[in-house]
This record gives sequence, structure tokens and C-alpha cells, in this order.
Amino acid sequence: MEVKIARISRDKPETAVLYCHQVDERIKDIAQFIKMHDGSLTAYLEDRQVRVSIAGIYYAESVDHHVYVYTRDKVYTCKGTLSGLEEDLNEYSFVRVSRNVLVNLMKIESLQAGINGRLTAILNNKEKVMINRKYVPEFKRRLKGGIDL
Amino acid sequence: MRKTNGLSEIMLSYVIVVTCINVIMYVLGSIFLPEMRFGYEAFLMPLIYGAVSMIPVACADQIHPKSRAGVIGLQVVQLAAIEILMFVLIFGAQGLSHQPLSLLFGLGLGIALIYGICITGLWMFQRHQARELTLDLKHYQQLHQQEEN
Repeated sequence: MEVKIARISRDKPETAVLYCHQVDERIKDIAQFIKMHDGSLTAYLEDRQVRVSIAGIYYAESVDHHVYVYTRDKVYTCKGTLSGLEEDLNEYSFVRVSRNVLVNLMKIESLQAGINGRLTAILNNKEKVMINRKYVPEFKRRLKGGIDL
Repeated sequence: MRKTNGLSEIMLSYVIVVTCINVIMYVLGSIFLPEMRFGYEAFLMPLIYGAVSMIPVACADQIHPKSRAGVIGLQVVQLAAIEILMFVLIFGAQGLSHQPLSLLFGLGLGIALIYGICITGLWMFQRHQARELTLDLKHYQQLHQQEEN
């Protein structure tokens, strides 16, 4: 596939048009990738497909092979795996805090020491997310802008 | 191998435990066995006792109870395991029947006290880490908020 990129002035909307022989999985993947970079992702709310703003996601959790995405007051289901979602959200402020939870750093209000000797992230909506010790170094690294400590 | 928080916490626990064992040995020894004299091997005893007491701590490192009751339950089991290990190590050959009850009680209480100091020390370490991370987090959020604007 030939890839062409053209600069446009700021007053025009950025648009990606795919010219293809047929809309197959490959084309759907590329379209999904572009949509993802538009700052939203596809999720499901009671079997209804919706676009969820990435900036509005508090955290994502994997439970029994299902991925759930939590916003301030809604819970959406996502297709795929948490690792896949982690890759998609890598360039945003999401970081893995345990084997089954990804959290948005922009939605954390503060961090607290739990009585179990583990750190707990208090989110802006007062929900608590446990940070597993194994993931603390990566958490610190992300806060320092990706510099290895 | 990447240094994990678990390892550094176990090392911190070890240092606290060895220091406290020295103090407890001095206090209990002066009260119950003031006439006893030791050779140079006595210097190794706190190090060995400290290392043995770390076994239940290291074993429980992979267990992550989610509720407060679960955490307290785990700590009780951990303390019981440490008490048993210490009594076996100290009195294993002679048995407990020949020892004065007050010495056994004092030792049991001393081990529980060291455990309590250790838990408090770790919690203070975590609280300090949580405060530093919260500051880093606020800085990160400010930077990314500016980028988005």
C-alpha cells in the first residue's frame, strides 16, 4: 500500500482517507488505529457500540478475560485483551499498576500507603486502585518522563 | 536483574529486625541470664535470627490480600510463623519445658514487638514514598495539562 502524507493549513480538518480494493480486516485495523489516535476508543455499553474519550477514562481492568473501561460514572466493555489496550494507550498517560489494571495518571488525585504495605492510588472520583509492588518502578519511571531510575 | 520494591523492603525489614534483636537480646539476657557469657559467635546470632525471620516475610510477599481483614489475617499468620521458627531455632535442642515461663513470655512478646516495629517502619517508608510520588504525579499532571492546552 502506498502511503502519502500531505500538510494542510490549520483551518482545515485533519482527514485520513483510505483508498482500497475491498474493506478487509487489514483496512479495518488501520481505520481503528487512526480513530484511536483521534483520542477515543471503541467500547460497548449494554451491547451498544460507542466511542469513549480516552481522556475521560479513569482506569481499565481485566476480569475473567473481559476488559472493562471505567469513566467517572460509567463502565464500558472493550474487545481484546488488557495488553492490547495497554499498547493502544501507551502514548497516553496510562500505566500498568497490577497484572489486571491500567490506570490513567491524569485521573489520580493522590497516592497513599496502605496497611498491607502497598501503595494505593486515590482517583479523582474517590475510587481506590491498588498499585502492585512489582509495577512501582515502572510507575515511577513514567512519572519521571520515561527516565530509568 | 531489576531491583524491585519487594527486595528493598525485605532488606529494610532485615536491618530493623537485626537492630531490634540486639536490643531484645540485651534486655532479656540482662534480666533472665545475667551470668551467661558468650564467645564471638554471639555477634552472628542476631544476623542468623534476622535471616530466619525473613523466610515467612519473603514467602508472603507474593500474597496480596485485598481486604483489611485479609491483611490483618496474613500478618497474624506471619507473626505466628516467625514465633514458631524463632522458638525452634533458640530452644530446639533443649525443648521449652526447662525454660522459665517468664523468659518464654518475654521472648514471645519481644518477637511480637519487633514485628510491630517492622510493620510500622515499613508503613512509614511507604508513606514517605507515597508523598514523594504524589509530588511527582502533580508535576507530571501539570506538564501534560500544559501540553494538552
